[in-house]
Amino acid sequence: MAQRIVIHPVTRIEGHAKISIYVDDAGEVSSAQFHVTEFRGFEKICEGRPFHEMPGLMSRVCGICPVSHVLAS
Amino acid sequence: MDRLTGKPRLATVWLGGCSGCHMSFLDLDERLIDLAGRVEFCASPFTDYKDFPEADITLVEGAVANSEHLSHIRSVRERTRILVSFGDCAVTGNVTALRNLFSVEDVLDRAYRENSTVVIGIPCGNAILPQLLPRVRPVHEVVKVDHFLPGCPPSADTIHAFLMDLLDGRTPSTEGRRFG
Repeated sequence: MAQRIVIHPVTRIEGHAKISIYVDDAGEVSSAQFHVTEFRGFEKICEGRPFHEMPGLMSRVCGICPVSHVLAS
Repeated sequence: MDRLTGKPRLATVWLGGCSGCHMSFLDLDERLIDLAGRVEFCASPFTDYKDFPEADITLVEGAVANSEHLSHIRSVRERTRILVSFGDCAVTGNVTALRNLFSVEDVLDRAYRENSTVVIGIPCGNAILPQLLPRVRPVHEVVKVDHFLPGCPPSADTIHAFLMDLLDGRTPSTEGRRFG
């Protein structure tokens, strides 16, 4: 019988995610999806803010790799 | 207390935040070894649990931003003796709560419609994705918080002093550097 297997939480990543694996009637994997469940909307919240806030804000995109975001900002 | 080791059970939880507070926790470096001797680490973002375990102290990083954070923090509260808002996102909402200036629709539109070039449209995730809350909320707006450990992130020294105070039965000190 077709079924969906959900892996939640995914613990070996930086961030929050789930994985769905769809299995068809023959027991074969028909498709799989990786769901990123975290969303904070940096694309919007930076609009109209003083430019000198950007390095401080962007480094909070990710606590593990803040340096790349600071440089990009 | 842990039934086998007799040590207090320490957990960390990660809601809507950047994990920087957890990174700062790891900056305890060699002091982690001493800490591991004093507490039983029972849950962290690395732990594959379905139900949050019973804990004496839980450090909660991040703000409450979506429906899953909400249900998670409620079950954490039920099973935790001392719940600590860990870092500015948990304490005030901080960067995570900046989206409160806009509607959820506007924030999602900007990211998934206006800025998209390949796949345009807001992901639905077949109802698997948690719904964003209309307002991001600090942890104490949702459940009772016993202690606040501010900082963005709190420094390793601040975290260490805080935990030592808590484990030794003193009122925790939260002095230290703030944002940046």
